[in-house]
Amino acid sequence: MTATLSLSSLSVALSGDPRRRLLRSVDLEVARGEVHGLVGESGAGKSMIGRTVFGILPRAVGILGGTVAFEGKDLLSRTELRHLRGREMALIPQDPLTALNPSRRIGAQLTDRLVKVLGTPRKTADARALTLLDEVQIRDPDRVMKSFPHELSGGMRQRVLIAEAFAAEPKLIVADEPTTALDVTVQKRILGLIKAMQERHGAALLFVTHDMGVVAKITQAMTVLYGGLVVEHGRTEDILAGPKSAYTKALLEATPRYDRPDDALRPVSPVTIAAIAEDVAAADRAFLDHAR
Amino acid sequence: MRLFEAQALSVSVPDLNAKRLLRPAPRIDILHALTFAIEAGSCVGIVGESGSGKSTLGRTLVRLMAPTGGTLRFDGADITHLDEEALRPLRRDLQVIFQDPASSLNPRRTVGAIVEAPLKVHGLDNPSARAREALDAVGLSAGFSSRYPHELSGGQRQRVGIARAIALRPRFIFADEIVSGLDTSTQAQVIALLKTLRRDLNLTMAFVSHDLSVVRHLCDQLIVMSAGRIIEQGETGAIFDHPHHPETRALKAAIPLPEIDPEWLQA
Repeated sequence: MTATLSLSSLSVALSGDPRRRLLRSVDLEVARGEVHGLVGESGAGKSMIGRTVFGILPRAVGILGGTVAFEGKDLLSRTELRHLRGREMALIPQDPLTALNPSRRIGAQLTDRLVKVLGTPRKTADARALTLLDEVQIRDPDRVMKSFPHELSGGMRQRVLIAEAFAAEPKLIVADEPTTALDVTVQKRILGLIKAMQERHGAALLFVTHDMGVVAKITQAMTVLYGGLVVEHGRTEDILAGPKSAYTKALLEATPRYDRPDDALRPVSPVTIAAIAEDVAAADRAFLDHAR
Repeated sequence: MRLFEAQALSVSVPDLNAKRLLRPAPRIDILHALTFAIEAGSCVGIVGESGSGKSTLGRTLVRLMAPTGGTLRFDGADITHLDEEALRPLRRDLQVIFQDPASSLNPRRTVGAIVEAPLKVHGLDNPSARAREALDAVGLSAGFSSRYPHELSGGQRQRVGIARAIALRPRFIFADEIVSGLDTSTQAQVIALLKTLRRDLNLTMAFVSHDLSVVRHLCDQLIVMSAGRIIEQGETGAIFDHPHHPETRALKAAIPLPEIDPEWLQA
């Protein structure tokens, strides 16, 4: 069966310069209905993947090669992308405050996608928005519809954006660190909510995070990135039980655990970083040779 | 020895949203009659949900906020109602490391100047040598002195914040969510650094965090807060082994450990 999302040897680079790649021949497959974790530290290229999928790369970043496909349809084609974005694919952004327009009511922002993209009649859209707010466990959906973003807490705003993402029944959702700005108890509720919504609506979910704990709790498969290079990928269970890459292993050892207070927290060692930098350099040499 | 002692410590602020013209604003209570002590040389983790008063408590300890009730003693002396003038000699002993190093470091000054500034304010001799020593202790080599904050990574910036605090050789440091914005590996480095500094400088610390795993690794004492009240306090290990309050249990249960547990999301 065709994967919901598949990236094949995708390379993007600053000013389209092959020597300044940000994603280094990335392969990634998200199966239908799967929750796939995209893990790495800052600068690993996690968000860059999400942005490529949605065609919202920064101006200075160009695509060098490779393919990005949604159910076999080419997402690098603007016409395909325009048709799929907002209908078949949706994004849950990291920061709910900047993603919502401060001067418009929640109701208007929630129904934009339905009314403007899908042409749903106003009344149907409003009713749908209320149902969605109810699904994300907002207790007083009528009041929230009339509220402005600043009147809601961080957790509430993130719920609104989750409801928004599911509005058009997309088949793929990309969540870009949706819980990093929240405190742990709210994070747990939001994760539970995203998972429940994903299951109820049968969407595939690409979940970007730097937190190994979050990956363990919500994903079935995962891809670990470093410097735009895929370091390891596979079933989450297998990777956590026995990481094959020294880098993944080091990341796990750097994660504090309250149940192992006596384990020394080891930052990723310079040796591991040097080894991985060598892999990155080797990948670049191969890429440049091939380009010639 | 008890470095801090708080008796029925309360903090309230005026609620300006509810203020009516020509009338005093009603007060909102942020901290409700907290009683606790901090032993010299200990590291106290202050945990709780957002809005529980963790940061307010920390800020009150270093007297960036004034208590409105109860008493606060530092090293035996009552500092509850000291004014700015009287607090000045204490400022050197009570230091803060802020959550966001990007906004707590002056972007127009070099790292060296940033760390030297408080040393000069307090009129200490050899400020540049002391700054150098502090930067050394946090693992930033001599080359960093002439750099600006924007040229540094998040972890390096946080180290500058730590260096600025320890350069004064304070007796107490309040660290407000200082590792939550860092990458896993950088976080591990900063935690290791704080452990070493605590040991070498015999520091007393209050460490505010919502990540109980970090607190478990760093702090020997724990204060759990909820809605401005202390709901549980004591030795970290004991509270983790037997959390009494349901909210403490919820905080602990909310930490995602990196292992598969299908029940976790439902629980």
